[in-house]
Amino acid sequence: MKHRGGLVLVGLVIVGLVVFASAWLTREEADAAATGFASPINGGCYIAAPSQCRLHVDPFTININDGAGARLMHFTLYANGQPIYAFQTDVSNPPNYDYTPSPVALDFAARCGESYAINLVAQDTTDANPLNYGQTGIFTCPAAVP
Amino acid sequence: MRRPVRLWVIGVVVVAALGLRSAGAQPAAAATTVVYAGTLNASCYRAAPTVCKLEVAPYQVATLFGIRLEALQLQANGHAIWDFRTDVSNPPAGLYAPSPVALDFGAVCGRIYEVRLLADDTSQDDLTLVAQTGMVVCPQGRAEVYVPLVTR
Repeated sequence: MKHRGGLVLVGLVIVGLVVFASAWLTREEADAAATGFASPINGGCYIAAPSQCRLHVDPFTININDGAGARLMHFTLYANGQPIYAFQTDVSNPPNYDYTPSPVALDFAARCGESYAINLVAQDTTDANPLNYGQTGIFTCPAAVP
Repeated sequence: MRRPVRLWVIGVVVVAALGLRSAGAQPAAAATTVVYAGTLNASCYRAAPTVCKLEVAPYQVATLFGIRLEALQLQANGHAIWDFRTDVSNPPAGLYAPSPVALDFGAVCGRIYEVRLLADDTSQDDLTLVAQTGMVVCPQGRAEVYVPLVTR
């Protein structure tokens, strides 16, 4: 009787390990699949007039996790951690394809002489939280019109 | 007898692979770091009676195989007017055409400019000159437009 009880216990432990391992592996795959990404985020700063500098970001594409049926919910461009462009998609029919936002008309305001890094944070319907999709290196706005 | 022969063969293969690798790496390191493609053209125009702007025509830069573009900088008379950095985790490789800025670059009317393009890639530590324009002469500002207002 004791021997049989020991076998049952060992069996339960093995079943528990298998279930745990399976759940762990499944969780890893779900996390990996949920990660979207963007084409490179490239940008810089230029001087447009005396004491007037602008941030310019080259066109980029947000690659959503369309294989998993994801839809783009929103994205934000940040300069030094501060939002400079917030974008929301249609609430009833958000894009279910890789999305290329149209460039803004006047670029983004910046302070001359200051250094910036720009990053893109986005979220699609398979992302649990907004994720960093891309980031530029640090660049410096010109100080004055030559 | 077999074992020493096998070890000798493995040793020869490893040495040959290392030799090929170092030989292959040499030209990439020694070659011109950023290959400039196309031409750099610029102009200066009067955007308002006393406001002048430098406009740089669209251009492209190309990096060699295996090298990625890290930075670009436009200078006017040696001073930066545009500082640009690429994505830190996925910088572009091959041909790259930066999009034109929206408001062009500030300039002083009547002044003469020489515009230069500098580039930096993963094979070097700093920006290097890759192209430059001839002398661009900005139109004279029409300050006289405001003179009657002052004298009134």
